[in-house]
Amino acid sequence: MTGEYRGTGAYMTTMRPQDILLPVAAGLCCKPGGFHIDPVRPVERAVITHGHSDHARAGHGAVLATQETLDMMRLRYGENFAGSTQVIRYGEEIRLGDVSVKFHPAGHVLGSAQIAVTCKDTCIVASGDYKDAPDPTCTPFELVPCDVFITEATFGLPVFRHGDASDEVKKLLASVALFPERAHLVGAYSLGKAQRVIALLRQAGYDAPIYLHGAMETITHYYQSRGIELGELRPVKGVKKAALAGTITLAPPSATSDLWTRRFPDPVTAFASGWMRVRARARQRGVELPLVISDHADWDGLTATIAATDAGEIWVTHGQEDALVHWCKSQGLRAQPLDLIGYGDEEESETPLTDEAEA
Amino acid sequence: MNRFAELLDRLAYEPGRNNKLRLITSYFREVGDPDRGYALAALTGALSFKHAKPALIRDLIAARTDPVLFGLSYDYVGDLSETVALMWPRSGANSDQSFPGHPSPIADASHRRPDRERRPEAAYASPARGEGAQLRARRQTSSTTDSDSASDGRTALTVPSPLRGRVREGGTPGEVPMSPPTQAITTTRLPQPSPKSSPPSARLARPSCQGSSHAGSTSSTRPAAGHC
Repeated sequence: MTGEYRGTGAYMTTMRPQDILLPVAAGLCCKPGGFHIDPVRPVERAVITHGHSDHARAGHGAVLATQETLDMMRLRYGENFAGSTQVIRYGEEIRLGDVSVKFHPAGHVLGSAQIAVTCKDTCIVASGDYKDAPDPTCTPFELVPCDVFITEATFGLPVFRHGDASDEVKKLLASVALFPERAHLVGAYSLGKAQRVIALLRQAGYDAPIYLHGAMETITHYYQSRGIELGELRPVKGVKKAALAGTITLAPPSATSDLWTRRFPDPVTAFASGWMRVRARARQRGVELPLVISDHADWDGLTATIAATDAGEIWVTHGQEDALVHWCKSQGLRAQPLDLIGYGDEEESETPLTDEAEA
Repeated sequence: MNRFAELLDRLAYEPGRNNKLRLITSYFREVGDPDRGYALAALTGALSFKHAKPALIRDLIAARTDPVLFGLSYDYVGDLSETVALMWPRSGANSDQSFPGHPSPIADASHRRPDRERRPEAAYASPARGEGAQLRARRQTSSTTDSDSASDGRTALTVPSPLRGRVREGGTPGEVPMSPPTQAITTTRLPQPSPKSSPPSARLARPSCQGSSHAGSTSSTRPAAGHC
């Protein structure tokens, strides 16, 4: 894929990886390419991995991303979210300045990508957020061999092992069967998680209508428009309390501890998240039915992926960097934490949007 | 016993008394003997897990994980037994095999034991399930003298500590408090008898299956456990 550049690079000295990509205040900056990856501040040219609001922000001059990511940004921020946009497909390679950029599926949410940046002989993969677990709502993660792998570490502790998401959905369905007079309220991030939970419910044979909080509707309908089968969905707004007995409603996590829940009959509060693996996290949120369903790789997924990329150097960002850096070093890999500020739970930046949508 | 683990999880998070009762009722209706007997014993505090002491648990996990990673994880989770249960290495082969097909360690043991006694040590050197491992351990301790266990103390992990714990602490009841039951069950998953034996189920969603098997096998001499 990079033969062209390898040829021209022969007479030049090899670049250090940090000459290609360097963390700066605005995000991960590629000087030779003249762009930033997932910048947290407005920049002239942005290359974006996926549509979560901590990675895809409005206000950049030009944005390069997959069609789905651009569409989601448009839905969330409005038509004028960027000066100009350019679509790139998985597997497509584009030359930007002195580097070439190629997108590969990251398996995180619909349209999510890993970005391979190649300059001369050195290939760096910025994976954004990724998961190696099956997900009926997005293209599966693709392993990209590289020299430097930039990995997230959201669940970068050995206690986070997610297990099979379909087993978690079975738990939810068992609870619905046991408490037919109660409503089940499932907290799930509105981009990716909610749709995956719905798809898993359908896979498990649940064919009753699923109700949606107002903040879920736009993105969920967008998923449907991209051909993701989600069955019959109904807005929960305006539905009588008694009619919600025995039903499942998806809502943003912030709404499940809100006055909003009073419209449900004795609701069982579930929360679909990798954090639910740890009891204290579930208790903090007052969750009654924790569902360990994550759109990030778990510890085993992170370590297996790192090993499989065959990268000699690992940069670890947003999450539990220390543990993963330690693990990499114990495996004889060069590793360092990348100090990037501004990434984390998508939910935190999503909350205001939620309120707007519901109010 | 995965079903019991699920019950405990639900009970731990469910605030309403009537809903708790519904969960318990449904469990006892749905699950057969002897599992629900163990469950009843566990819920009412009739099972004691005297070997699962924090020091033992620390030693067991130290032998299996990187100390730095354990330290970071413990800091994050904040509870020793939960941290260890979550970090416990998965076995390769039987990772998803739990006990639903073999719900009765006692019945199991009674028809397997004579068989195993006859077989050479190597034949079950790496039993997939805890019961076999423990049996083997019992034979090991009885064949070797107690001097070695006395000399190297509890940090020696080649001979499973639960048994020595039993010998050493013989008279003291050393009850692990049963409330909240969830934690106790999680804890009892830990005394994996032999490092060579792989934990029968390391699937984290069901932390108690391992523990309950031990509960069953260690208490197999107690008449009550099997017949409730």
